[in-house]
Amino acid sequence: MPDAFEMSEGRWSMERSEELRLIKLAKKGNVDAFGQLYEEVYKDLYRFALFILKEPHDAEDVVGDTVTAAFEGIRGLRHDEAFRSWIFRILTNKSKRMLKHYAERPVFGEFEAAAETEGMQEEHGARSSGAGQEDILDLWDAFQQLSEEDRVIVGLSFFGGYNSQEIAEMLRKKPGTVRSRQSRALARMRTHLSGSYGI
Amino acid sequence: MSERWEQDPMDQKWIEEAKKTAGMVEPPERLSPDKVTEKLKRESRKPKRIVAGYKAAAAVLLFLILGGGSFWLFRQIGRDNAAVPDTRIKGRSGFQAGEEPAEGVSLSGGYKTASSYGEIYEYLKQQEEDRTETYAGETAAGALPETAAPSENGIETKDEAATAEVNHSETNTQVEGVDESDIVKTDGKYLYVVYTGENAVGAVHIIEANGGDMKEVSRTGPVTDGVYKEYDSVLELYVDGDTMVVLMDCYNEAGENYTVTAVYDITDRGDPKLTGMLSQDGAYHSSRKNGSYVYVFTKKYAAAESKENDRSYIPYVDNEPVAYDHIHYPENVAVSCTLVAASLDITSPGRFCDTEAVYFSGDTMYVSGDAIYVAEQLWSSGSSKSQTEIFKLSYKDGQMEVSANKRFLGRLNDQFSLDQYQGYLRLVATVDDYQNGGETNSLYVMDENLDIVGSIHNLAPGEQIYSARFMGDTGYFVTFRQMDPLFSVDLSDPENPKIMGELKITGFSSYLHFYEDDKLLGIGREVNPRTGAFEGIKLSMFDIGDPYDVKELDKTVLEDADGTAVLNNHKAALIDVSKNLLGFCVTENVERKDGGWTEISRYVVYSYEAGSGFTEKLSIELNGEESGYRYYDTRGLYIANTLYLANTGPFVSAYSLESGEKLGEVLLEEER
Repeated sequence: MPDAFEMSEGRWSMERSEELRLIKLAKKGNVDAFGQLYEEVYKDLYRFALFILKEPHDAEDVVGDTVTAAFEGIRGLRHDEAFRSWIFRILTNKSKRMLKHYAERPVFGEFEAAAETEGMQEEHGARSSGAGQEDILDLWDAFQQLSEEDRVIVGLSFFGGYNSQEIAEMLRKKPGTVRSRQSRALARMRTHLSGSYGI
Repeated sequence: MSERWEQDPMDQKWIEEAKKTAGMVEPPERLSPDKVTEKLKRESRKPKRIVAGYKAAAAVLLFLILGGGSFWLFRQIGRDNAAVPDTRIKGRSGFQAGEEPAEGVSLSGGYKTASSYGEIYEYLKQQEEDRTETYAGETAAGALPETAAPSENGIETKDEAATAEVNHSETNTQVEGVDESDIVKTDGKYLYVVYTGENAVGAVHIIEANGGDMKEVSRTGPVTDGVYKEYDSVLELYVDGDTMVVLMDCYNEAGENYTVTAVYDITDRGDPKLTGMLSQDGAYHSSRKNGSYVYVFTKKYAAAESKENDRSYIPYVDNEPVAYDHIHYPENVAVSCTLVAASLDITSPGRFCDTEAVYFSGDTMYVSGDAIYVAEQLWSSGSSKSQTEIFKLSYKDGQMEVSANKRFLGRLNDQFSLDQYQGYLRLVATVDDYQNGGETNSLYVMDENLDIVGSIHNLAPGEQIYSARFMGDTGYFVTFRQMDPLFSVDLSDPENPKIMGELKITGFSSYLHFYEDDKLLGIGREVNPRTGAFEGIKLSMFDIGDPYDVKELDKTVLEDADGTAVLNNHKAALIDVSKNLLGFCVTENVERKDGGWTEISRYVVYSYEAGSGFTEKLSIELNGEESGYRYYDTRGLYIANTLYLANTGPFVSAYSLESGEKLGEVLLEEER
């Protein structure tokens, strides 16, 4: 992947040389350098976790764990790897673990309850337009319509900015499989979101 | 870059809008960069935190006899660097839960040598199809296995090429006669220092030592010319007489990682001449040098993307695929990582002597005088106990041959947990019991086919191995107690007849080094037996004259010290028994008035005399955390009576070993 360093279109504003410098420093234990790398990516990390998991506090925990693991494991970041994809991969694994955990122990959480209420309001045509929180819940709800695996795929594409090839590599699947799952998942979300976003 | 959204244009619009919605989500305060760095600083500055959970009391040295008069001792560093998940999906073979080997080892299906490239492609293809929901491949920390090589270490080796008349230090290696590459070397006249600097590229700086009045005579950067050359960097090196071997981390046009071994004629130190440059696919893992042969090990991920793109699944060496009859894969186990082993003769570096590719993602690597052992802890084996697979390649004069692979119960601490003597491999491993909790320790003796011929199990229940060292018929290992109130200690087999002695002392050693004939040096941590808190870095000298009655002769505790790289990397220790010299860098964390912590580093040099114990000869304070450098991994070298410190930011400095007076300094950053 010759484009590995720039795969996340604009979301990573740092020059690769600067990134390499900071990675070197972080590998030497420099927390501030690590912090600068983290700053570039943390919002997307959180959003990814939030939309694919069931609970906001789970998202918070998973990102928190990811940061700790990343700092401890920064020496494991290879030279040819971008910080962003690397930390996203850690996050993906941790999130998948959480999803697996849900599967074993069903959760009906706060956020889900809120979305549920929201969904009911929508059914009653009480949906107000433009309000951030509602749109967020709506989108979250659309994510929750997907299977756990599809949520990860769409999440990586939404928040990670990865293409199907890259997602396939991360998830160790065939690119074709990822592509077909993704289009199916998007169709499903589109149906769920119909009425919003000009759909 | 390319194919951004590969779906309907009609989706594109709402997706953009939906992304905007998602963009309204702000992470909670706790995840803000400020809070996160604050937390990381707090945690990394207060090493005492790590200790919580260790009740710790006595560390135990165990001495055992193996067979006729052999006697052992070991040591280990804890789980941190032991636990690397494997990248393989154990499924159809290997052992399943419930069919574990009672004694530890089982055949693992065995490796097959390929008879064509197509066969490899089909093998990988098949495993990709089998692989549905498995995401093995990353460690918890996201580190790929090749990064997990903190465990390259060894003991002092007398470099057989030590031709210089002046006495000088050598890289602290594990096996005498088997050199290990490092970021610094000296031949008694020059210092060879890898400095990566801020540009992350780095160069080998050759510095004329000149008794401390140093002068840089040349610098050699990466020699590659790829499109990604700005990402290339110098890793480590060897020096043998007038030959210098430099290992480099490089990228090809496709952005794929490969490793270059560059050989230079340095007859003129001021003008190194490239005499050979060999490349192999994969990220650098480790290397060794024996005689004039250098063995370089890299790791490359393999994926059967398309049959035509054979480089995605067959590693290349020098722009040619590895010959298929040098490729080995396990028939019934899926592996997606190739270990590429390549050897070259530095006296004729025009081509590789031999290359082998093994579908195996090893981690711990131990190289004896005639065999390469790579071990990998298995992660998803379905077993209720930790397991490790070990792979052996025999080698001689640059030729390598796949020899055997087996599994055993337990996990290794580091390369020092393995040792080969008179054709037998001896190793110690900590066996975790995932079902019932707790751990025990086992010792195995394997023959040349890696079949177990002797073993001891259930050693030191509830403890794990922190360090190990072997000498001839004798082995030593250190275990340490970890409080785990959920599980009771299994004392069912406390009286193994093969244990010679047990010494209970406070603290534990993470590194062991034979010091004179009947003494063993331990470097580790002091631990308060009541509270379990770390109380500094501890040096111990053990009398091993009577293995049935080992004594701690002397100890000294550097109470203010919180850490030293020696605990994880033997190459960070300067140990010269004949010169009675022990040097290493320690870090101390000092609480500031504002509540924050400042890290201070010191390079200390000790000598040891029976009777008077350890004496601090020098204590050199290095700058604090200025300029973002940590001096944690500082290397000390000596030539005659001058001590040189390298990997201390952009400087190499010289001190008198007698007075501690600073004799000189060179800055590696300025342009000459």
